[in-house]
Amino acid sequence: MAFESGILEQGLGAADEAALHRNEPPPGWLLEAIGAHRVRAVLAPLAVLVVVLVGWQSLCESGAVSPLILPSPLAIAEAFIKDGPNLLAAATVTTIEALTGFVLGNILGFVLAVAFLYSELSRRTVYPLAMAAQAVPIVAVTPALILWFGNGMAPKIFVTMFLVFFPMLVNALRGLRNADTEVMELLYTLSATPLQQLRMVRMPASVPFVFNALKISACACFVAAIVAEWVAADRGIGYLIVLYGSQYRMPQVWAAVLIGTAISMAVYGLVVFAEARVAPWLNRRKRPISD
Amino acid sequence: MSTGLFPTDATQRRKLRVRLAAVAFAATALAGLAGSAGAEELTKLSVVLGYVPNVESFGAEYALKQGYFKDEGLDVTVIPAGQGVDQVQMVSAGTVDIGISNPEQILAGVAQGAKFKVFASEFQKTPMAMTCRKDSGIEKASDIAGKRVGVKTPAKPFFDLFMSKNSIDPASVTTTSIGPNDISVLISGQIDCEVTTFAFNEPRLIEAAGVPVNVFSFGDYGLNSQVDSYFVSDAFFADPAKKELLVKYLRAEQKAWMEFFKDPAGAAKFMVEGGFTDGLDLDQQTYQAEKQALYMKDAFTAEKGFMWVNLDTWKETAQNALASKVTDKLIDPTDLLSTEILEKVAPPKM
Repeated sequence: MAFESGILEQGLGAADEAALHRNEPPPGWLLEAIGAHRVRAVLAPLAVLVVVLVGWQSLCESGAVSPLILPSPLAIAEAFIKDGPNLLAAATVTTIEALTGFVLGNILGFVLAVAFLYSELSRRTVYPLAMAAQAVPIVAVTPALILWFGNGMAPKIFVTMFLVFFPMLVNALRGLRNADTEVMELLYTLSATPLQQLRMVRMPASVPFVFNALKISACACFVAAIVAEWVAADRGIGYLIVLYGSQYRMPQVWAAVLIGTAISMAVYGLVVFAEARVAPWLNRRKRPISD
Repeated sequence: MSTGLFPTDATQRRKLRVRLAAVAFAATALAGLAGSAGAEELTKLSVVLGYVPNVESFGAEYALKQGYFKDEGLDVTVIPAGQGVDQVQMVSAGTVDIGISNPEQILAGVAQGAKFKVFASEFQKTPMAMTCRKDSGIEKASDIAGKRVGVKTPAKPFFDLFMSKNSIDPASVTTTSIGPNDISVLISGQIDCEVTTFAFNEPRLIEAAGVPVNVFSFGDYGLNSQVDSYFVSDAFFADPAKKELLVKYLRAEQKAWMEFFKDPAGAAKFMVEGGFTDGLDLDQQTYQAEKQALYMKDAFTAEKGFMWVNLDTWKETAQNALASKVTDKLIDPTDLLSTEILEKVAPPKM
């Protein structure tokens, strides 16, 4: 954007500017310049990545690093091909656990925030407990969760929910309280019901805060599910990492980690995409004027 | 006050003090020099234990405390292990000289390209076992059909092989994954058996919680291995000077182990009261010390010597590692093992 505006500032003639103002297609030279910039934007990081991968491969082939510590990129690629079906099946399990925990945890956090907003009693009684619960080292009590919920997906979903609900609770509560005072007064004079206040003013006001919470938990939900699987599981990415790790199949361990990272980033990307669709003004507001 | 040629008492005392100080200084300096020379003579060596310090690692800890290593000219650093400490990776990366680990792990490392040399083994019979609640009615391995078994994640391939070797249909057993140190699921009755346990660790703790158990050692079911084997990198072993260090190390540790066999209960007390790790229970450690002695000696050690590496056992372990897919190829342990250090140490035949 900065580059494009730079072109506009430096090289746009009066005729071109007039054409732009008439919403006509931009001149050919401008499109070419923008295209070249985009190609460079893709090629530059790609070139760095290639250099890093070649350096990494050379380091591994030199024997300076034990293959039990750092596998080569080619070995990791081979592991993707060789163990792809296993890795994808495990990734599906972990994704289901992570996303179920993500959805349930965020719903719980938001519902609690609404309850705390309207009920002084619930805020005084439950909020301190919710805060204290956040301090519980949940991974340490995972064996107990397995006793209660069995060894399936339930304890992993619970751990994920547990780690996800608090950021949503805190952010949503702050967002719901962030409603414009004058608008709230207007609604009061119009005798709006609490539900109308919530729907028309408080919930829209909380949107930026809610998306902040969703972004935090988009990656955290995956980490939580994988860590819960480490403790005890017979499926999932966390299980595979423990199993492959115990057999020193480091390329497979890295492949599992990379798949987890990719899915986690995809979930984050989906949240960002949803934010852009639901609240496009948030992104526009963040951009500096020079863009 | 001076009186000419004849010194007074005070003058004599002053001179005497000066001479004594000079002698004392010279003696201190000499002692210091001798001391620093002695310290320089000690050669640094590091060892990572097989687990958190307990009677299982009495040899290294006692030899260190009693100065047996120092007597051999070694300055040994003992690194405790436990959850998250991987001896195979540490030796492979060169961050530690000697590793003590299970053969399955060493073989898995070799299968992935690491080069090691195994020069001694603590256990002749594996203490790895399946522990079952007595009230489950399981008296022999085949009785687990129709029962619920908790399996630790890394032990899953091992348990699958155990069922296969003992003609147990996996479909007839309900398995569930459990945490690495979890005995609560067995105590609570959610499972009938747990795999794997150390034959004299978890069973004792479970019984202390009021649940009588039956213990099935995997060594009796075709899955024997020389647990807690001592290994170094191939490069380390190839250096004659470093090989000599291993002789000294093993000689000192063996001396400590002889004290263990004289008084296992005293060894347990030493480990508990020595403050090597938190949370050791004297009753459990005494029980473990007395039981583990039976797993460390057998007819083979009576013939060859204490801590001798057994090629036949390693061959069996290598076959099992391949069958359980812990390794993706059959590792021939012939080149992996060496009795060279043991031959020089000449351990007692017991």
